[in-house]
Amino acid sequence: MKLLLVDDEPLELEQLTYLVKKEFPNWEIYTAEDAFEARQLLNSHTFPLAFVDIELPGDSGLSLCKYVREQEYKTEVVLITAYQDFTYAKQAIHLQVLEYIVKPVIAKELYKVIHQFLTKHNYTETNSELINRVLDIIRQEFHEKLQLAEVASRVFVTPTYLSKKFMEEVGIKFTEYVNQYRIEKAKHLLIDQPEISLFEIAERVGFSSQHHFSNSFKKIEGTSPSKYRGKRS
Amino acid sequence: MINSTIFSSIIILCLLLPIIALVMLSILKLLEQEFDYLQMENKQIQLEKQLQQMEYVQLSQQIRPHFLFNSLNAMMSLARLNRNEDLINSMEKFSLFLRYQNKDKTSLVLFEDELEHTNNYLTIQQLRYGTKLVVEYLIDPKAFPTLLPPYTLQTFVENAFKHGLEKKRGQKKLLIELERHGNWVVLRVTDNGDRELMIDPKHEGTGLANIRKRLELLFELNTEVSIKRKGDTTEVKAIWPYTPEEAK
Repeated sequence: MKLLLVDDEPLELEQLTYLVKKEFPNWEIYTAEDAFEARQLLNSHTFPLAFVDIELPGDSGLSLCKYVREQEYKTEVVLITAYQDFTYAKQAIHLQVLEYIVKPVIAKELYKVIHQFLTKHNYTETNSELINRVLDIIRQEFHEKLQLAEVASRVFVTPTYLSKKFMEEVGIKFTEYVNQYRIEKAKHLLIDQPEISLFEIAERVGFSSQHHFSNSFKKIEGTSPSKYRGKRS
Repeated sequence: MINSTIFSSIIILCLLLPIIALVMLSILKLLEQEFDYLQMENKQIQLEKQLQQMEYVQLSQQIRPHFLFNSLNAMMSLARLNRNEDLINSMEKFSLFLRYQNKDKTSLVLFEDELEHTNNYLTIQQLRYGTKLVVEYLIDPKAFPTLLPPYTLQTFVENAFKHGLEKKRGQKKLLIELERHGNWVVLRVTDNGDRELMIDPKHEGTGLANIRKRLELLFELNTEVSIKRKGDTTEVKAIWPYTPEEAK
């Protein structure tokens, strides 16, 4: 996974890189010292997560955050600050930041935020770079038709090898994982957007039919999508 | 008879008048002294008040938790990255920085001590910004032995960070100059930060006003504290009479 760190202090970038690498050695970490550099990186890479210092030279961290929202990047932003200022917190909520961490950086707090992000986006990380790349593809294209053979050719391995390796690393079959991932996404949609139909949800998360969606949902959740929605709302 | 009464009255008057005059004169002189003394005392009290106010500003507003937390964070980075020697060095500097703040101060201190205090502060900033921060010194040895009100240089340097350098992209430059012009000393702190509003005297903040006030109270001769924009840089300047330790 690609992670973006934005802070004007080189030492702080080093510290954050060190802390993240310690727990997530496979992550690809990109650093920027101001909003200008960060915007350039955001334009050329896809970052699921970014840590941004509020106090940046030039444009502030909050305005960078605004830019991320305006460009509709799917980047979750965690703000870092030396202030415990309520006005910042209010603006941060408005800009839909995931969390807010305060300097000095406490390792436990940092990891908590990362795990919060992983849970929210149903992220799985493995020790295999190949499988991580496949997981990345699933996260980005779960709403499309995902075939094992096609994905295997994109990462330059045979379908048999990918199937075996995936089972080893993730513990479940590729198709099973994709289904579970889609159901997780569907659960969020069922609760967050009560106005959209089951048919549309099935389509949005990548199921070929509503029937297939309902069956898979029942198999994993033990209840039908409509009952699940009724219970939660 | 009449003549003798008049005569004796005149004699008494002649004797009494100088005595009365003498008494009045000495009373006046005493009053004046008392007045001078009260005036001096008043000045002393004002000076102390101003110094106290500055200490308060240093502790509460300027150094704020902001700098403390940033320092702690930088030191924690060093610890995590196993840079032991740098960590010890910065903790020492940081301790000395805090020590100066908590030391009892006179209304005038040696420039050398003030410079050391400022350097301790700058060590932490250098740690945070690394090669992006360049600090230069131009100190005239003829001016170096002077005394100055405590926190003068420190306030100038802190303001340079607070209002200019922290917001500056790329290279951050700071220049500290001390010059001697005859009987006067000129202290200049220049930064290359971007600043728009700062030249408005209403915005220069309590720091500069406090230094100006203290210089006025300390010296009867002309003193100056000013801020101005020079091209891409901001220059803060203080001028006061050269005062070496012996003259205190």
